[in-house]
Amino acid sequence: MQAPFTVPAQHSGKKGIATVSSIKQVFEWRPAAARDDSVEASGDTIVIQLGELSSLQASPATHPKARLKIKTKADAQYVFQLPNRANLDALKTVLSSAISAAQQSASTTAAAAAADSAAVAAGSVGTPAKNGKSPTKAAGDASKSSSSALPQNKGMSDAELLVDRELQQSLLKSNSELQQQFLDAVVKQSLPAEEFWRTRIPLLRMHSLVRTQNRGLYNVLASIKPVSTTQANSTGTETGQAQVKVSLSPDKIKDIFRQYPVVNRAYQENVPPLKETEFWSRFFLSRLCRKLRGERLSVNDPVDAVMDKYLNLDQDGLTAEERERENENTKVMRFVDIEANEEDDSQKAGNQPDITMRPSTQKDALSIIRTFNELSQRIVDIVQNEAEQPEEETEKLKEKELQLQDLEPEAAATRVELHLHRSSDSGIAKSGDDSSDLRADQNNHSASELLRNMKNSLPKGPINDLLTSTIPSSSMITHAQTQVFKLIVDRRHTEQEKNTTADAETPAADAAVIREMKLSHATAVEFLHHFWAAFLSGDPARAASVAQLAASVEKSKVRLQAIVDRHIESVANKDPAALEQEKERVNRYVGITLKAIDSACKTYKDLLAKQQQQLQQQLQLNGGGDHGSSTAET
Amino acid sequence: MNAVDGSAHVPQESYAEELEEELPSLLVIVLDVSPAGWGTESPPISLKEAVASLLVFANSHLALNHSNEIAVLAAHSSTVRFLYPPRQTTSSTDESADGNSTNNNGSQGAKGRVGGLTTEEGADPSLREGSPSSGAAGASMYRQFRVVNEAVVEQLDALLSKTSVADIAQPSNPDVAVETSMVSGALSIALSYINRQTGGGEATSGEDVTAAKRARILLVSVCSDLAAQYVPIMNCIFAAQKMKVPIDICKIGKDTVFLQQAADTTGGVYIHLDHPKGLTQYLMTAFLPDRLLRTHLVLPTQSSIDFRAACFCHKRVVDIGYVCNICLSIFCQPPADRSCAICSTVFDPLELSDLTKQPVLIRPNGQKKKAKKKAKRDEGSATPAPAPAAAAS
Ligand SMILES: [Zn+2]
Ligand SMILES: [Zn+2]
Repeated sequence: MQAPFTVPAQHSGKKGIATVSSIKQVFEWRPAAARDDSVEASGDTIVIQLGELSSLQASPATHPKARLKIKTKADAQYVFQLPNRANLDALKTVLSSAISAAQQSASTTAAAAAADSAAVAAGSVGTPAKNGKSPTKAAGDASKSSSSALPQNKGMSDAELLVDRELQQSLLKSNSELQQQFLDAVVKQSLPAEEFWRTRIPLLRMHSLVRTQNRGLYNVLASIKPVSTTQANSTGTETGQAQVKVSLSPDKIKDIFRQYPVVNRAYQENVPPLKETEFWSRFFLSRLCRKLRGERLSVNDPVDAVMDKYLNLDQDGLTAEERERENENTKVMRFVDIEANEEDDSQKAGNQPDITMRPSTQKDALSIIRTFNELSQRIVDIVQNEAEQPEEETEKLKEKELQLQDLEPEAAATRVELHLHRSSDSGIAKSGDDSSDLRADQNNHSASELLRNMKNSLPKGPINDLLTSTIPSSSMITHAQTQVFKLIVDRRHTEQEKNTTADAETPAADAAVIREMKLSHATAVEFLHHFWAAFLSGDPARAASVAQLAASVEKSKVRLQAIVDRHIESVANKDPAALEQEKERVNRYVGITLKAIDSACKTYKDLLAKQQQQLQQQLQLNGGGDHGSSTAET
Repeated sequence: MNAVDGSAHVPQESYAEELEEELPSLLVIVLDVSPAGWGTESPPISLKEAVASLLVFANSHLALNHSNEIAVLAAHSSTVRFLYPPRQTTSSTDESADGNSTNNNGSQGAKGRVGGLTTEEGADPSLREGSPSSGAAGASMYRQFRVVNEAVVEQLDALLSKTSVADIAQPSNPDVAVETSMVSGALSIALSYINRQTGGGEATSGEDVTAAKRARILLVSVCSDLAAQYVPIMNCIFAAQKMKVPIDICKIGKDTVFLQQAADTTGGVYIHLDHPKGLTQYLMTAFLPDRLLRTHLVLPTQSSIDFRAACFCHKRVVDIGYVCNICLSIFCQPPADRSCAICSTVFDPLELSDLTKQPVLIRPNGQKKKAKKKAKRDEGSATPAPAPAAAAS
């Protein structure tokens, strides 16, 4: 981009050179003749500041000539013809990225928004009379090329994400839960922000990706719901008199034009005589609108002399003759070219034509299907800009689509059987015996002894006696019953806790304690998470932060313990039995967390002591080696 | 089992409607008969008592609804055998249960079901002839109870009396008995039996199958070491979950990891008996309600579940495991040769080295840093004191 981009281009019939200079921030075209006679030609030279460019519009790929129309903010427009399509695409890409760069630096508008506005501008100002296809295509082109000019991988590496404060702020704003955690851990407990984000890099990356996404197109007509003020419209008895209220924003109108070139054409051809509001109110009552919405047309629908003219135009708003002319230049794909495949025509063998090819049957249903298919196709086209796909590739894709896959022989399922191989690759493979400590106490029985014992305890004799002889003692029954009831009660508690977040039984004071507990629990877990991440990283550079985090973990234990103690104190005036019960209950809540904290602290301290000892030894060794002689001397 | 309920003389019409509403329930009891569990000098409960309790329980289940059905399986050290319904040729062969024998049992059960109200003579004689002990004592017992009780006792006797030391000994050490029993095999056979009985294969819509007959499995387990069967057991658990068959676990002796998961996943009951001698009481209070009733009950099952898994390499229960991200195999340590021992996926050496890194708590370059760090730590531990105080006020 630093070197000026140059391409040969014709402007109003004159040959010349187009140059885009990112340094000077200008787009420049000067005629080829300028080199011979600079004085005379200087008047023909076109110089546009990149910041002044408002939109680019390329002729469609099917068009024989590669043309690029450039519009400026001052509403001047220039058409350049390029020698071939590759040149056109290259110029367009360079220009659009230069435009977005210029806009980014000039204003605070985000590049994505710029692409959006450029796209909309192109859609609205395109001249559809000449070629109905161009506005949509161009809009697609513009938005695509400028968005592709956005650096896709910028700011996606871990390091970049970690320092992107703005991104982090935006993520916090969009996620209140995370924000709370951030406040607790970073703001209140002074966890370094970098540590906080280090464990959430995937979240950051996802958020960054989400932010670069633009909202896609949707069927705009379906989203507009006209409200008719008289009932007459629905019955259709009053023609044209019905009052319809429609709220249309300029954006929506632009979208309608993009998605329905027919409406664009009708608008262009009729609005000077008609008033804009009148046009839209008639449009929304017309059969044309009903057709485009995919609704069924009936004979009772109101007739509108203006709108009905467009009823029979095709998807691009062209009449049959116009379509014919248009088609002369376009290459028809071999698979859908009926003329080329005449000998394969199944109707010649006596088959009925396909349902979509019959003249009269189910016309309504078909037109609905067609409407929706066309719209879907158009939206897909706008998004992926089919024109940029090479012809052969499209053809191959179509070929694949046309294959009758259910006639293919069924492929046998190829399952991958998984077996443990190389089980002996580690020495522990046969150490199974020492693994189970359960065995130690049981294995002193020999197999024969076990078998004899068991055979002896086999039930013998009449079954009646067997059943009556083994009734458990009443104390056993009570014990068993107690265990079962205890299990039921415990289970009920856990199920209740699962179902109710803040149950009504809990007094307000209790609820406050629980909230506090939850908060400090979450913070403790947060610190534990960071501690282990840093601890296990094995990175000497993070040794200091491990120590810091270990201290924070310890702190969080103190905090949690304080809440528990305070709570116990508040119920201390109750009788001792209840106090014990309460202690047990609370400890059940926090016990696991405290245990986890203790375990982390212990692991840290043990290892620290060990490593310090090692260091000491090493120092002594080194000291003995290096300074041994010197100490001896002194 | 309508054939043997003795109600054939009652006018069928009056009961017909009632019967259709009360769907029959199939209970498959799996009794773990590994000698390591029962053969110790002072077992928590003797095999005789346990069998008696189970028979009482089985009879209660049959008494709840006269179209209820039952099956009893024995999971031995290395074999699985149907105790009830017994094989038709009771004494002719002593081969242990295999696909063949289950087929026989299955078809017999299916015949009874399809036939609906077969006559008494249809299913019974073989059982009767095969049971020599059914004499005068049986006359006072409800017929169906007697059939089940006798068959179970007899078959168990046949199975265990023919067991030799070689059958239960460890291959490596013939003097020591294996600690395990074929729980996974028994569960598989139980599930296949249920599937056949409930017509799982032939039914078109899955929901109707479960409505036609409700089935559940009760496993009375005494052995504690099932780690070697981790994968097959987990497969059974998921199959049962899909078939909506709860697996109840009545655990005698030490807790077993995977069985807790079996009950939890399938919506069954897991009780580790604190007082095994009271087995009858446990069975009657905790395990009797059938699946439909359980939706209205709070189940007496353990709330805390051990979700640990066993590593595939050594069949050991692990606290921290390493899972292959391609085939989800579990290993107890990072692979030495940097690839998965099951699917041979080669792992990213960078990622692997992350797993094996040793914590570094002290910067290697000298004491200055350490001193600084120490100071920081002291400072850090000094700050928390005011925090709780502030919160308390
Ligand atoms: Zn292992
Ligand atoms: Zn793998």
